[in-house]
Amino acid sequence: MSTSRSQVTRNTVALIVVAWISVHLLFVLFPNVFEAWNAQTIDRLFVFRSDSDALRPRYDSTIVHIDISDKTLENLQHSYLNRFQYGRVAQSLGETGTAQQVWDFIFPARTNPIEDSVFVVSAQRAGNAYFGLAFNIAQQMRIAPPPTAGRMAGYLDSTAWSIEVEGSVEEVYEGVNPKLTFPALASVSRGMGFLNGTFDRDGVFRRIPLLFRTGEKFYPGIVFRAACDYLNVTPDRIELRPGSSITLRGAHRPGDSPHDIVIPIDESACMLVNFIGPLQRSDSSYSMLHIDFADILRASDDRTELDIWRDELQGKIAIVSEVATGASDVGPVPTDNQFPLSGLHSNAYNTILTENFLREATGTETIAIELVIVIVLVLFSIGLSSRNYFFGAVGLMLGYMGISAGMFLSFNLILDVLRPVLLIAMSAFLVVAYHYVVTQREKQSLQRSFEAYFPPGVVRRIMANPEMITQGGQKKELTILFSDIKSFTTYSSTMTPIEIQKALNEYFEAMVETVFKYEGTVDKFIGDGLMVFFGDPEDQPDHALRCVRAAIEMQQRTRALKEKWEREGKFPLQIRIGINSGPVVVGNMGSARRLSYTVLGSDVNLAQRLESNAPVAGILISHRTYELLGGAIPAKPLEPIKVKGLDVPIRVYEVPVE
Amino acid sequence: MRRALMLSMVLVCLLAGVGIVLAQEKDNIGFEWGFGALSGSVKDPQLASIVRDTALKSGDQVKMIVKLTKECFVYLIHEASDGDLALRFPYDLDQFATDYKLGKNYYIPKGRQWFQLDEKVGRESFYLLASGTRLTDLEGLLKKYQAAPSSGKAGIAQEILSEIRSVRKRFKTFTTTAERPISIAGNVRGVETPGTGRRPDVATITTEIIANNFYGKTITIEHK
Repeated sequence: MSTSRSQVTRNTVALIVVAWISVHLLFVLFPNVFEAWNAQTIDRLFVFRSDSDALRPRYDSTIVHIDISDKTLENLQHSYLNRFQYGRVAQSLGETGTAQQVWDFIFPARTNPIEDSVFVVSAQRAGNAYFGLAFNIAQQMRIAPPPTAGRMAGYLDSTAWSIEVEGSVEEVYEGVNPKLTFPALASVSRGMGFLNGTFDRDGVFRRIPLLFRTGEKFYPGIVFRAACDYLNVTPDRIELRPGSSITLRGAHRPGDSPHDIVIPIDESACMLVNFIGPLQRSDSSYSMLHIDFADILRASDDRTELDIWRDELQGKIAIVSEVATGASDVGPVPTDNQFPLSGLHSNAYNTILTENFLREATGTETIAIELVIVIVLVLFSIGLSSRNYFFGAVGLMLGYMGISAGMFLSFNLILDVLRPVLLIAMSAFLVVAYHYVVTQREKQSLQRSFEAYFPPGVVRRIMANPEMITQGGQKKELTILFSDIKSFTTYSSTMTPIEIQKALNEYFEAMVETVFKYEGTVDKFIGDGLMVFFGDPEDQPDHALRCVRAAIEMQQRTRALKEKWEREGKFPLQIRIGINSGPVVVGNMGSARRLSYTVLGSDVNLAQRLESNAPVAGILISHRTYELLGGAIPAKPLEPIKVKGLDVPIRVYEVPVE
Repeated sequence: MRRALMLSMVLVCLLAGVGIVLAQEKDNIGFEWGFGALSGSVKDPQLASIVRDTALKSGDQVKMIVKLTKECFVYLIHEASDGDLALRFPYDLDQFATDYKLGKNYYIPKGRQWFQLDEKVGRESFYLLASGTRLTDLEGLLKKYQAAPSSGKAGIAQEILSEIRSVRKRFKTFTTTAERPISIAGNVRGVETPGTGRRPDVATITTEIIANNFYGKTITIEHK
């Protein structure tokens, strides 16, 4: 059973479409596996990029970290810090001229009245401190959140933003039941913002929400609020388009000219954070500047020291955070699997300040890319062999991965990597497997037809090396054998077709078996006659000897068959065999619709003439065959005979069968 | 064989030398420092440590102490509210060669005397510097200041203050190594707990100061 070319093409296209649908199904059914896998593949690009000076996103050194680390506590010889010390640092950061101090802290309740008041007064003096709060997210709560207490609700409402919105805000997180910094401190702060971070399915922090819904208004994240203040953008100049962008109209850094900043966001108003790198890069350098909290604390009681720090911190944005052991504010980000999450805020701030935003390809864009890939795969399947299709698919896969990396590194565009790659891989697998099955099926069909003409060993070699018979005709010396049953036409006139078929099948079975034993090639069956040649497709230097030996055995087996048939009441089987050796043309001949592997030439005709002149139950060979035998088999010279088509008599020999 | 032995010995000596140098460079500044103010009545004097912008009034007394725990060079320069500068320690610059020992208490002023705040109010600053090597540029300016006529002192005083700032900046490392918390399956208690109101460095007058190569601090008093 063979499959037509057009049917194979149709099936191949169908398989590519099946691969596409299957890959989509995998992503729908197992998002935790495949979406996480895709995200982690892209994370590798972040890591790769962070190690290269040329590729790494620009770090705006306006942003510095003030760290409370294990070293800080060791330097201060304290096991904890109190609000008096926080206050001193807040005041010092104000006195050193920092533009902003963003505290990655929530100070939820009062502790010691003296310390608290010192902290409040210090923050008030500094006038540039931002403190944190945290919301519960309504969409993630299983029970209705309790209402926010009156005073807190009032405070939240007074500090929330009314901004211009275009589109549905349904997916924007709704912040409820907040955990606030205590009101006295909050009221002297420059602003409050939520510290919430959101992680992806695999628990990695890749994006940060910029706004939460609080009733009819919106509450900003601490970084977003601080950034808007720094860029002199008031809430009335903020435009929210969920799933698309947040536009900061007329934004300008101190001293710069105003321009609009468009921040790409998702439906939840989350911005992808363009992480500069891990906390510490492979060359041991740090992605951002870090200052020890203890140094600022010490400077707080030393005017000269503060003066020195002023040169360093003037105009900076200080992100104050705790990274000491025991701090739980640590999580995985694309560039680092144990990253102090104050770095999420600083990197988000850096992303906004440098306007170096990342954008993910939309669903429509991804589908369009996949459609192009499917078309290319279909074209490959039409124009390329199975092997080349595979290499083409691998090339397409590598090419797509290269393009994805290029788009990320050059244009900050994050393409879906895994799904198209899986689509290519799966279609390559399916198509190559299908082609393999079709080829195997055709091969088996071919093998079956070969087995009728060639001995099994030769068939195996032909199947392993089809070029043996697919090349054009060639001229070579072979030995050709013709055999014919004496008076078969006469006998067959008295037989039924079934009897004829059975008799011939039994006879040819024995003859072909003998021919194959000596590795001859069955050229064709001509009625009750048989044409065989030796010496091709495999070269056989002793082709004449093999042929004559095969002929002797054919006569012997015919005798045995004759005796059997006589016992069965059938006709007396006797055959004539003629053999000639000489140069002939051998190869596939015929039309494109029907080819036959055969031999042509005058020596073929001579072999046939010898057969008709051979004695009954005897073997007649030509002089050339006799020469090639070299005396290996005795042969009796007969009188030269004249054959049709040749003017001169030819020398012939009879080979004894016994 | 002998040559190899000698080579080894030289190598050992070199390594030992490098080790000594390295050991010297780490925490090579060490001294105890105390700065107290005496206020209250004569019968019931109150001794308190001076911290930033401590407010004192005329008549209050102050005294300092330096006690070397490592060989280093300590300087204390006083800037009065009217801008006058005075080298309070060493008592004079020759003292480094004559009377400068480890473990000895050097009181400023000497013995049982105390500085008493006069009627001139304003901010008084004390610049405490310690270095592994002598601060020759600063010493040169101090000598120049002492020798200068009154009319020329103001300009040199500014140079001295500028040199103090410059030398402190020169020895300063602004950034630190970024740290991440050690991953623990548990909690650390006391990193932030409700405070008790205690303030660091208040209970003791003297504190031991240990530093690498250089230490600088400015203590100011609000004289009201």
